[in-house]
Amino acid sequence: MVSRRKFVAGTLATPLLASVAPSVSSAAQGDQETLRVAGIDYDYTPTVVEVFQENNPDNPMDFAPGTLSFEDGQIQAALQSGEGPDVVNVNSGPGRVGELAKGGLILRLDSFYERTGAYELYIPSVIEQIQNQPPEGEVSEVVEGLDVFQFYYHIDAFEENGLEPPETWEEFLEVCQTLQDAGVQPILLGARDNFQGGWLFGNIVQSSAGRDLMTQVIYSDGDFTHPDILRGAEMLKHLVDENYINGLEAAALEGEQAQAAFAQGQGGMTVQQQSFPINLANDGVDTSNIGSFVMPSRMEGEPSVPTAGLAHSWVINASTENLEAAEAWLEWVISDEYLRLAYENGGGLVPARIVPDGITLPPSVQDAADKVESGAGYNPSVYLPGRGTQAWYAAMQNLITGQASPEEAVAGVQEALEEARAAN
Amino acid sequence: MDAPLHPPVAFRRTRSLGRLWQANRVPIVLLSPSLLFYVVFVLMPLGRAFQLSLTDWDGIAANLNYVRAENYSHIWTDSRFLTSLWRNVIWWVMHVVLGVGGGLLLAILISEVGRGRFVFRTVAFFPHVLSLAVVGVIWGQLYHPSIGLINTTLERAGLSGMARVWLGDPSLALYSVGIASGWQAYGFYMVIFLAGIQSIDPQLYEAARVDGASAWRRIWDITIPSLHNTMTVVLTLAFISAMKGFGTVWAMTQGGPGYASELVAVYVWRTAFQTGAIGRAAAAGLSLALIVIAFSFIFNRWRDKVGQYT
Repeated sequence: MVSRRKFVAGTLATPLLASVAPSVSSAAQGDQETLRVAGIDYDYTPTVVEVFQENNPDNPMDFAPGTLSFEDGQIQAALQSGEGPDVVNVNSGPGRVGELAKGGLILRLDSFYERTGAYELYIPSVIEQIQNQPPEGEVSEVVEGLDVFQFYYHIDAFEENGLEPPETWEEFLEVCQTLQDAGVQPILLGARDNFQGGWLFGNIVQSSAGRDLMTQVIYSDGDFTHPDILRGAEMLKHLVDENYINGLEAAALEGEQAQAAFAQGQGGMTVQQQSFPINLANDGVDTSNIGSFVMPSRMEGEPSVPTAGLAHSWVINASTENLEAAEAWLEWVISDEYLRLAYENGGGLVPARIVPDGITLPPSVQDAADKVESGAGYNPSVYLPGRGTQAWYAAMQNLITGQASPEEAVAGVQEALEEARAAN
Repeated sequence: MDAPLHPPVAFRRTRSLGRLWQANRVPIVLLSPSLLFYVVFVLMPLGRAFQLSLTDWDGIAANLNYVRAENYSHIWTDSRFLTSLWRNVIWWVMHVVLGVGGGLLLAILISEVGRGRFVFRTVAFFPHVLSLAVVGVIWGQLYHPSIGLINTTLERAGLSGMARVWLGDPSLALYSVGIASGWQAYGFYMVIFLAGIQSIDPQLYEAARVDGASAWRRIWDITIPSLHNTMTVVLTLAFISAMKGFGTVWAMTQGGPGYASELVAVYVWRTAFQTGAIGRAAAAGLSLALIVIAFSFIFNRWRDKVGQYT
């Protein structure tokens, strides 16, 4: 069995091993004491790595920057190879970390959480989420942060047309119509690489179906063809039919292309995450003209909330021979000092843990954190299982390009969900 | 005197292993490294892929759960797989028309050039040197709906009605990417055709000129028939290349919008890594490989037969 896993993993691991070559080569020389950490290279990563090394002179460490994606098999291959990094930063979500935990590729961290008091450090809803995903009740990850998705708009375009951020769906449509009448493309979207399209569709479904129904769909046997979710698909189609979204152009453009167009002043609104204004500011764009609002809810009595998702999580490789050092890294990650350094050095994720006094969040991050304080909807791109995610993206693309009716789009996702549930 | 390297089959069957070794030890020793590589890096992975195709392995589980031929029956009744296979056929036709046809045309034109042939050959071959990712970026910009060269040129020429969202329109996406792929491929086929043309006896052309044959007649009656074997190789390579098509599609549309430009290789990748159905992806990949092998075999046998009578 081991040979099969190693064989397949070895085949799949080639791109990963190439990307982390320095670390792998030093580890291959038999230096078992070196802690090997691999993950996304955030703006603040060099600083937190440097400080960790200063604070832990007896724990030599290699940090290998690189995107370790679940969707292209890199993380699975790295963990299965038996030679992967000790600690890895991966995409969060039940369809990712949950699957790695179920397969026994990463270690349970319940005792780590109890020993370090991490349960009390993190926002209760985050702990609830990571405990609810398979294997249920177990904790196998330390969440680096959250992404919150909402509408960003050009303040001057709104002011020039006498518009305010909408509070109902009808007002949202009025905003779109007014912008269109003024010659402004109401919603800019780049959906070729799926991400931004998934964020927009997720916000629309949250607006139409609410969190409770989506909880049923994601964690239980909820039906994706439910009339409230179907209404969400119809809303997206309506936006395309009215040309508030140019569906064909959206399908042709990458999310970054739409983002660049918005930064250049084109369009009235776009759906982005909280790091969007930070990235624009880093590129020298004046972000004082950019405001944000949450897609109005169509659920009676329910507040309008953005969608959000666990962004990335740290996990410990089940085959690590360096557990003590790996846990030392995680203790560093959950520390106040790590959080402070992150936000002092360009951190753009919404904190997953309770922010201690004295740490100031960037304005857009604080704005997003405030908006999810009263709750957040799911970003289905993260929370649906792999088969469901692909069908979800296809549904979004098919809707904006007129290849599927709303009924066909949601039925396609439901079919994939049923298949995923049967496979489990 | 040493035994012949290729003894008669009947004789070979009757030999003991020891005598076989004695008689063939030189070729066996010389061939064994490449044979070993072939076994380790081709046959064993194929065997593993076949093994996985009989399971419902998700890429993570520690144990293999065998499901017999369920994956094969699933994909051959899956309209998405069958449609992607049909798109491969369209892709192949485009590859032949644009890549092979373009390569042949250029090879013939360049072979007629006296001075500067090297320059033309190099320039024409250039697109093939580019990585598929770069090709994707170049053509992605050309096809950009509002600032792309194609649409802006059409607009400046007063043909704005012909401007399209080339990569976003489901009815155009596959063809748009196919053109980019053909552009990337023609240089490779051109070089093979040039080599074939250079091996044609020049006296045939001189004789044809003396007889007053036009350039078109010389191409049609001398060049094309003389390239029979080259054409067989090129068409086989084109088929294999088209059936494996992935990079340009992935770089430009990722198989979208929806599944509108999804080829089998993209289907395999998505099934394996985005949905975690490794077994099903292996079944699809092996099915594609069998189609390629069967077609290549039948096509080459047919070309051999045709070649005997031409």
